[in-house]
Amino acid sequence: MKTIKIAHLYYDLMNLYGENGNVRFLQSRLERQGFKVQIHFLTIDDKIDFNSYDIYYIGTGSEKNEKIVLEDILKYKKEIKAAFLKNKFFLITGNALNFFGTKIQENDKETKALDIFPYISTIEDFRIVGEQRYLDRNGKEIIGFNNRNCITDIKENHLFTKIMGCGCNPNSQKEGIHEKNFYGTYLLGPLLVRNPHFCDKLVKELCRTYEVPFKEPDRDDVSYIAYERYLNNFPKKS
Amino acid sequence: MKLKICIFINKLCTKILKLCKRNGSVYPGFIIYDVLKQKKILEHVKYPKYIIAVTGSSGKGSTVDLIHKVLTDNGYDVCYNKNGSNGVLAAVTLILNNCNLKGEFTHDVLLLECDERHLKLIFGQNKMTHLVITNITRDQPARNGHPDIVFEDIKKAIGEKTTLIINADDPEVNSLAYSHENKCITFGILKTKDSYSKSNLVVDYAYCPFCHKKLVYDYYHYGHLGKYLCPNCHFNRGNVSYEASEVELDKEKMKINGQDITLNKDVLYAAYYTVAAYALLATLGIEEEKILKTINNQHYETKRGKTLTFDNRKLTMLETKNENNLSYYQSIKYIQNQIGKKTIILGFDNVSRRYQFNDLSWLWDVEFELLNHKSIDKIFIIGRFRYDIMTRLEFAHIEKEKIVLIEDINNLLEEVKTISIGDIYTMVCFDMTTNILHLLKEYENHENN
Repeated sequence: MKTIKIAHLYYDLMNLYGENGNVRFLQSRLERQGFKVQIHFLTIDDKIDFNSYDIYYIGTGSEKNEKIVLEDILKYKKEIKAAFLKNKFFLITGNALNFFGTKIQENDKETKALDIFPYISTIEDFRIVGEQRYLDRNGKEIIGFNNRNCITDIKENHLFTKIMGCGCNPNSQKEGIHEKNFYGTYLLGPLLVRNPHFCDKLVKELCRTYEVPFKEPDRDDVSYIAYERYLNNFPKKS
Repeated sequence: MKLKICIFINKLCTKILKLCKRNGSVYPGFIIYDVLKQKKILEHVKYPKYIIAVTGSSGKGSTVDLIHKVLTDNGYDVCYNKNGSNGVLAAVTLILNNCNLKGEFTHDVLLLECDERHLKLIFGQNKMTHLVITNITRDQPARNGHPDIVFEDIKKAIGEKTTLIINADDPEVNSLAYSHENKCITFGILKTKDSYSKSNLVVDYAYCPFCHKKLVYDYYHYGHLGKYLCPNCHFNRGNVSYEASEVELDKEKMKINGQDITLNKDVLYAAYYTVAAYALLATLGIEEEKILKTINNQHYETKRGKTLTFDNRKLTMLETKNENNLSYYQSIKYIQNQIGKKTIILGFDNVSRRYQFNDLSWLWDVEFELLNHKSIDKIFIIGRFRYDIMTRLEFAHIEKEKIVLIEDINNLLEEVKTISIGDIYTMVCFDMTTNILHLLKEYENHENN
């Protein structure tokens, strides 16, 4: 059986909100499908080979750490673009989303970003904090949390549609970006754990990519029960 | 005149609330600070010689309790926020209630446990004579954002004249020792038998605060606290002014600068609050003998770890802060170090009592893997988020047979009694502590009838 290699990038700088849960959950879901899974933790000063991995994950960091990582990740601009075009999987949560636009704007200062997508991120002097409810492209509800001081102007190929909370920016009804196998959202923390159906959708895509028959998840799975309970018991309105 | 009126209103409100048997630790401050918009009123108070604040993500309440005990034993008249209300509104209430109508503070010492974000609101620069910083770690992210924001807020309250007493084991906090222009005293703990050399996955500060190269650690106590060195610019713990050594938690003893110390709890945070308090007291000029007399010969109460009996079994209530992975870590380590079979009660109805948000991200920062141990008989999960906790415990590879989901909290004690063995530990936040105490009381009443 195929071995799936996951690169958890900048794990020691971009890990503010339980982000490790995403790779661990993904690992477990992939193993249920029969894949072998390897997780590699990589950071500044490591040589990151963007040819070697099937999935790349980056989570949320403080503004200081975001700047440190941006300086490092720009070294890999060409390789990251090539990996994206080769349909490698990217899962990007929280303010790591800012790395993949054209630039990051803070007051009068502009910093170049990876330029994978044509959006601009802006650092604000306020924070957007709170529970979010979105719909994914299959119409399934997504639950999550925002704790950010940045917005973007992503104009197309959004990942989610807002039900409650904040979109890419306070005026937007859409959130995140999904092109090819790139999944990026400002939602932070263990997004996949809290939305097991979304994780299983990613796993299904991976199964399709590697021509492995997808086994439907067990609906008595406790993560599904936790998800359903939250949907039924917690806020639905802004 | 303004100050006089505010003091009068504050005292009057407090008196009325007392007559109505209501907790008046915050509301009078709310009237002054928010309703009358007197945001700068504390700047007009005539303060005593010592204005001591203790802040940090954890351990500040216990540190303040111990400082208060030693100062009182040594004849100081100390005013402090005993009930733990540590925001600006509580500080306004407390300080104005302890002033005469001339605006003079009427005690020798003002000692405050201060919320990290509120410190700058309570004290303008140069008001604090001494500031103790215990640590900076991730805590209440929905309110605080992240530790950098907290640390920046603390720095805004530090004046040139403030003497700092800081934790050298925390590299971010210790960076102040390199920049603060006045006296900076450090405290820390040398390697213990529980120290470890490989970093956990979740560390708040893994990089040098000056040159941003990855720090190299000799050992960790927990989180990012330990002995570190920057291989690039050589930033390190430095010569620690007050250093705890030979820490033997099981025997509740350690040494500070060679002096024997008796701890009042067998947990590492007790070692931290003891060495922090010792460093502050010695800096104030209290003779070492006098400090030791109180620390070693008195049994002083701490907020955590209340011990009760249920079903002829010891029940220890470990108040554990949600959204603070290191608070959970210390509770888990405490349970792990106890002898015999153990039963744990875990869960919460609300993530926070300060706000409505229910962000569950932090559950994945808690090292629940440490509960995967043969001494754990059962883990009872209670509260509205029991399935989220259960998902997390599954990932910690805890055997399914050991996990019991309690759908109705009223059945908790009966279930604990019937299907579990060993000493009982509640690892819950404030709201559930109250609920469990209520259940225990009902159970006791029922048994007695």
